[in-house]
Amino acid sequence: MPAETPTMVARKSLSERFGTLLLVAPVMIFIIAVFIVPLVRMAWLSISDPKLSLDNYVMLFSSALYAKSMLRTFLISLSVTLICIFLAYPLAYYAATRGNLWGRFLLIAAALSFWISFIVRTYAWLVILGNRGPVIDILKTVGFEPAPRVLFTTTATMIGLTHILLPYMILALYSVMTKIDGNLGRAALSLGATPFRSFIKVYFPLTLPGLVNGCVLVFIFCLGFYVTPALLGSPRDLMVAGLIATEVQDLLQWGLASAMAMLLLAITVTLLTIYDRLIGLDRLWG
Amino acid sequence: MQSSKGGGMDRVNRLAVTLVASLIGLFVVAPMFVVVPMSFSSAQSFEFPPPGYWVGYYEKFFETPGWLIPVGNSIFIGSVSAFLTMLLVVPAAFALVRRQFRGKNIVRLAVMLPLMVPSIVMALGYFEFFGIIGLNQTYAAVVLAHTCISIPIAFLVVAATLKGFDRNLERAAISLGANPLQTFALITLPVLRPGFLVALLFAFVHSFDESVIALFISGRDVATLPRKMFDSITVDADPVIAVVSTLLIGVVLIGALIGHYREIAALFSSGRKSGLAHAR
Amino acid sequence: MNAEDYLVLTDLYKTYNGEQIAVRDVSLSVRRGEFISFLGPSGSGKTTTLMMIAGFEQPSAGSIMLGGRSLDVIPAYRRNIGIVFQSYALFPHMTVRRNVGFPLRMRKVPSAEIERRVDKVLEMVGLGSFGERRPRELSGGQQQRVALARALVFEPDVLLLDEPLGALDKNLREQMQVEIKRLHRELGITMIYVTHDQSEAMTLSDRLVVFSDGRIEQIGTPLEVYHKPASRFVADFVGDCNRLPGRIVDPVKGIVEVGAFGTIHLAQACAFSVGAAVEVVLRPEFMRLNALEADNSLAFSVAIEGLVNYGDTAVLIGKAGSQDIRLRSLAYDVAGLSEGQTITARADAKHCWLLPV
Repeated sequence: MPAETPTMVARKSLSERFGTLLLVAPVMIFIIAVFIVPLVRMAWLSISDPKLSLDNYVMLFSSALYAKSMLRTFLISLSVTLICIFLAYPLAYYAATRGNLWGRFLLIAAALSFWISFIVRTYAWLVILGNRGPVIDILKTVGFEPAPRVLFTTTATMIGLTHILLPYMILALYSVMTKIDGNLGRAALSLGATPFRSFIKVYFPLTLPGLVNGCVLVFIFCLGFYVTPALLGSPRDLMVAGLIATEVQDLLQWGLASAMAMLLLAITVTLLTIYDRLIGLDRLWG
Repeated sequence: MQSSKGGGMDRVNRLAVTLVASLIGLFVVAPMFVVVPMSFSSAQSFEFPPPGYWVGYYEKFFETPGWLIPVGNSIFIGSVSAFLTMLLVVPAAFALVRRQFRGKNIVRLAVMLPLMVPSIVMALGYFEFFGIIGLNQTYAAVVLAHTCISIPIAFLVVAATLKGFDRNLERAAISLGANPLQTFALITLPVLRPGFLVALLFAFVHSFDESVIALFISGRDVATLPRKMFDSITVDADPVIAVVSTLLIGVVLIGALIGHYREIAALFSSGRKSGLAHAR
Repeated sequence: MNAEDYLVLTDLYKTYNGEQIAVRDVSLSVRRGEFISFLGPSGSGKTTTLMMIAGFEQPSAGSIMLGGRSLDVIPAYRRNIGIVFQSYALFPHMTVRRNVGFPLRMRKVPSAEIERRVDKVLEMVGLGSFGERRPRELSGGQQQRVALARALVFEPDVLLLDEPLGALDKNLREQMQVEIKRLHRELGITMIYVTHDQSEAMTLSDRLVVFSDGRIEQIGTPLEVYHKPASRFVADFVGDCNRLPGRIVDPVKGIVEVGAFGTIHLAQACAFSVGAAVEVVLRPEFMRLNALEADNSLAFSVAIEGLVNYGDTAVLIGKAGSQDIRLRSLAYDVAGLSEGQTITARADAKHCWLLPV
């Protein structure tokens, strides 16, 4: 059989390779210049301001203020994620398993919340939980006098975060649930399982990929969230993002703030890497 | 006929699920609509339910440059960054979806990186970076930053659109006599256009709603709408924010209606048909 | 230039990355106006060969000539070859008329002429009133007809069809087969039809090209390929068959011993050497039940293992000794038979075909 001549092979590749380079170069250059460089600079600042050392990182782990804030952020994120699971699951289940109008409507409502900015939704909670809002009114009517503070507490932050991040969990679960074959449940029943066991042994395990997906999304979002905790939360019990902002804007502690940011970044990247190893990042954005 | 894919449950369970799902649905949707009556409230503070109603704050919104300029800024920055995003993303998507080359994985990772970094980290990074090169509080800075964070989102949509594109359409066009350039212009682009528009929209909305980075780098003159809203809550406690929120919700609702208008129209026409059938 | 050599493929090779060989040693000479089918299983190289004719794949070696001209340097968009795809590939953003008129617009045909020709070809495929519809408003069969119209409107030299009916249900497929055959008769256009469905290939083609594993196994008319398969692959792929072990007893007189089933006299045996082992191919429909004993025939004592009744015909599956036997007859003939019974079947020597082992 006649072999392909080397020149033929090489010629085809050269112009194609150049074309590919041209297609990919702009975005790569942009990402390096406008994404990588700022992050690298920030990493540098974290070890060079005020002097070249790891002092900033040491401070983060040794000082109570920062350690508490990180712990608090972690716990809040975990709680919000768990609450979101329990709230999102029934709704996603309903929308996915009933093909009816109401289910689709609920789903559209959840999807719409997506498109409404964080600030609008946070403001809504500001009103609801505020001193002159309905929640306080109800508490007063029920007999709590003077009414306990709801706004500017960690509870308020959690309510706000839950409300904002719930759509992500709902959609992550829904997209997996719609792909589950309805006949699987019926098959389980026909083989003698009770509805409860069918759910536990057949349906629920199949939804786990979506569940994990949603949890990763919600948890990571929570860790780095700024707007809602800043507006709804207690100024004394800051989450990490708020602390970073305070360090930079009020105290001009560039190095320290950068160190905190790098730490947050490291945790986020670690979580995503674990997820990638176990499941694969492309599943995350379906 | 109602389809049942849940694996079989009895009536009580089904009812319970419906109830719970509906309550949760209410939780998801209802709070946002608090802002609507608030926008008509006559009170100075964040009092709910409002003591009285008037459209005064609407008037105030449309008359205050302090609000209108940020709206204009956000639209401007959103548009420019969306276009820039598409310019960068579309060629890269073509390369990643249709071609094989070494380093493909690196490029794909690079394109998705901005999605993996929390906003606050980027905000700080940009604050320091643009500060050093003297671009803080300029349109250019915000446009560049927003372009960067929109790249992954636009890429996902464009890549999905490209993957769903039937290559046989191009082969058919070529077999019918169109040269590669004609094929691209007359067949490839028009068929991809709807998906590209969606990507453009996502990029625009992502920039328009972005608050954290804007808070750090946009400054007074280049204030975006989210930044103005944030300031107005924390600093001014300005009730006009309810107006802005309501208008934004309204835009989203209108957008959703337009986006799904075919389905809604089908709903109405089938409703009419069944009504006619009944009337006979 | 000979009408015989209208489309000539010579020693085509196609490799990917220098390792995978998709097509090898493919040579074919197509007469002008002929209907050729490329038949074979998935991955056998038939679609790759088609794509090389179309110009979407470059042959690694070999040449393609059309009407005396070499196609090697002509890019796909100048080959004047029409293609119909399995997925129809209709342009979704254009109406039916715009779709069909597209190739004429590419050739800068004046608009009045375009309208006239589009009308004509739409009438020809029976979609005269569908001009303003969009592809998504059409059924599968209608879309396929638009695809045909579009590929024919510019009067191509060759029409290539890549499993065009694969996405249609059975009835529609049969209807469309008739349509395609009719168009072929009316227009006299050279057609190359790729399919994995052997009955489709048999009904439509003037000649079949059977592909396996990148190679051509046989080129011939449907009857030739069916009754005289060139290899075991062709015998198996094109229709059912029984394969019986045999041995050449006397090549001069053409005598073949077929195991315990008899010794027959067959002209084809003269081509083999004495003592050679051969495989005797016998199609199931040529095994007869209730046949009288006759000269130059084989006899089988078949223990019935299964009966499949199709209403009009039936297939009987069993064993004669250790030999698997398949027999096809009218349903009427197996009425009253059941599994476990043993029956006698006969086959005439003239229906036997010998393959080397």
